[in-house]
Amino acid sequence: MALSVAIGKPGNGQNQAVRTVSLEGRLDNESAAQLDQQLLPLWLEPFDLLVFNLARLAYISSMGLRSLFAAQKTMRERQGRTLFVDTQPAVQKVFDIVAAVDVGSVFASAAELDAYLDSMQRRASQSSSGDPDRA
Amino acid sequence: MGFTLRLTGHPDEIPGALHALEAWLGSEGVSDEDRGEWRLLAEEVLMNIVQHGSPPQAAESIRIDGRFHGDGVELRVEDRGRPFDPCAAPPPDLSAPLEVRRAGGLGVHLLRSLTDEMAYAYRDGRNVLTLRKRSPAAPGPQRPAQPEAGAEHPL
Repeated sequence: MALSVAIGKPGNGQNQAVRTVSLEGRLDNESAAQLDQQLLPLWLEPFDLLVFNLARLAYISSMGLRSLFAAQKTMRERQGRTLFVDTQPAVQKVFDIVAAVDVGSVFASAAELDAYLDSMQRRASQSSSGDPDRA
Repeated sequence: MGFTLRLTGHPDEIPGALHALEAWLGSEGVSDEDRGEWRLLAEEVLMNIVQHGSPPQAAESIRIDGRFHGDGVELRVEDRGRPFDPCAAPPPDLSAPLEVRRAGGLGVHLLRSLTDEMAYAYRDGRNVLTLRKRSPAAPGPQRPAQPEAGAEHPL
């Protein structure tokens, strides 16, 4: 089981500040460099939020964690955030053991993440149009 | 039935070795979850050896032996690399911010966390690392008798 990486860009009407990376298979000593390579073009694009969809990621080792650490580090350097959604039990167990991700950056499902992103977008549009309570 | 594998220490051998280990555990009735964790344990051990041990050798330099031990599985990995005792390695600083964290040390931390027992010895010029992990699906004398006990593998 190799690693399959799918990078999703937002369509019209979707939040342009978000990129979604869906991983399928194993993120390990064999595939970590592949993920690093496939993420490289992404760093040239302007966006604030990187979402790893891990619904189909069955396995991760310390080599795979290194790639996720690197992605999180890059996003922080860009003043952005990294979120993880739909993490499977075997991968979540490794995350928990090594405290690999910040609490609050893991979402149980795509629906939960969508609700979070919607609330973020509402907040952003409210602040850009001014707070009506202060008018 | 036990499992034995010999490697030269080249990184390209690792995927095949992990596949063979998983296949053996599967043939012995070990659960998917435990097979995945054993794969992870073996990957961490082997990556540590090939990254920090001796260069690959023409002759075998790594030997992996698996067997059922009590109510679980025991994996023993021997290599001719530089002496390295993972049991004595300091734990990683898990409270450090992610941006300054390194993957180094996490492998050993995973070994400690996912095994029930980890023992190291340096004998005859070889690192000998023994990992043990209880496995509810593994055959063994400490398991409660099952109606289909005849299907169990003898030790």
